[in-house]
Amino acid sequence: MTEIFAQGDLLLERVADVVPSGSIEENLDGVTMVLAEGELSGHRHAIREPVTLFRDEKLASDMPAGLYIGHVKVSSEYARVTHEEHAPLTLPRGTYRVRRQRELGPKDARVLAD
Amino acid sequence: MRGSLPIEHNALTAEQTAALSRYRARWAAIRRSTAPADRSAAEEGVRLAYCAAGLSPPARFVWCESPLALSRLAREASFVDGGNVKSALIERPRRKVAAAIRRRLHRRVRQNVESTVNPADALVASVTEAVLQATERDDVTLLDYLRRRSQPPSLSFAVRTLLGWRGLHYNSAGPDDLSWLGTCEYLRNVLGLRDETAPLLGLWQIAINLGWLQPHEKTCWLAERPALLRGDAQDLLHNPSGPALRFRDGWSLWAWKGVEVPRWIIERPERITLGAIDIESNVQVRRCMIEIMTPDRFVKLGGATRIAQDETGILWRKIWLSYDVWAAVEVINATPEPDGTHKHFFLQVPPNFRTAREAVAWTYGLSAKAYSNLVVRT
Repeated sequence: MTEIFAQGDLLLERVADVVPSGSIEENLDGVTMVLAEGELSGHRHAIREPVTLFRDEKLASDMPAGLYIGHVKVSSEYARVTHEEHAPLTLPRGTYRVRRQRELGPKDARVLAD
Repeated sequence: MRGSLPIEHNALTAEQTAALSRYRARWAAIRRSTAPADRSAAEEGVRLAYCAAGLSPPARFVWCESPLALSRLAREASFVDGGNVKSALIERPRRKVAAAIRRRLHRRVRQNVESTVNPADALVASVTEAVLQATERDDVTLLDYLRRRSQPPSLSFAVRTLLGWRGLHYNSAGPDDLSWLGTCEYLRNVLGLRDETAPLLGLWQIAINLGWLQPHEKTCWLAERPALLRGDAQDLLHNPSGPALRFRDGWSLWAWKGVEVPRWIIERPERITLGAIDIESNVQVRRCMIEIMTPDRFVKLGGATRIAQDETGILWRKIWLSYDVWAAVEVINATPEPDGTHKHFFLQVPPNFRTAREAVAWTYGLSAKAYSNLVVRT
């Protein structure tokens, strides 16, 4: 069973550990790693524990386009995802695939039949 | 023999790689500029470009305050103005320079420079689309032309009209059409491909100093850039409080998330009622009206029907007789606000869901079954 965690418009699914690939970023302990930032509010989903954030599109081929943010590898005992408007989310050691939420916009509107 | 020609640049140095982002930013600013045109510099650029193309410089420059004004004036072009030379002036030098660059630059490097310096620019593309739509709406047919004028049209006008080769799209060039010049400027200044890019000196000066141009043999119509251009985070034309695009002659467009809407919808949003939404026939404009009114208010006023409710949220739907269906799922923040209340949000979703869970799962690109593995939500 894939465990799923959600914090507002961010969703993380626990996946099997993989060797980081694609573009890779690491943060030092106490230095904020931003997973996603609100377009209007500037509020951020962020982690301060040391984690590895990597992004490899090949690992998201089963996901609708535009949702994939990246993978987070938590090597320490846990990492906490914080956000200004949501309670913190505690992620146990492991690898998580991170995606954003979507909705339809006015340009997506179509008449179903005519 | 092309394969045996020397390919000098197989990879970029660190310094050359660093310069890519500078040129990317420079040309994004050029494409999106709202500064007044530097008319004398632009005219000088046109003369240089005509000479580089083997043409005599145009005898006459006609400046317009917007591409719509340009379109109106230039569609009256007659034999006195000569034929359109866009292809000779822009397309032919582009092909010639591209061929010369191919001989000097490895394909991988070329593609890297092109995609980095000149990425797709959705905002500028949406300006082009809006301008073309407006000029097409405004355009006259050959029959209209004959009715309005006693003089016969030029042969070029008649042939191009009959073939459908009229309007800005075929005869003019704007910021979107000229942005490839950014890549060539990088190749010239950073990689030193000076001889290969020499035919473009005039075109650079044009692209940097004006908005649109329609070049003919004897006359060149030139248009100012927009005075105002606003987009949203997705680079769609958007301004919630006024025009998203305005030219110096006052011609303006109002847009919401990339959809052109009537002015009143933006400037008099209090006039958006359920009745006004119902009678709007354009489904995209209708969505904008609901977003501006806010889905929360739309639902509270009785605009939609509650279809389903579960622990993930409430599914709302509205069906119009024209087979247009709006659906949204109302979700509640798991974390309370400081005052103890919970924020409600509406997310617009496809209309075919039967449960709120299916709809919420879709917003994350998941099936309802996969979403049931949710451990915690904050």
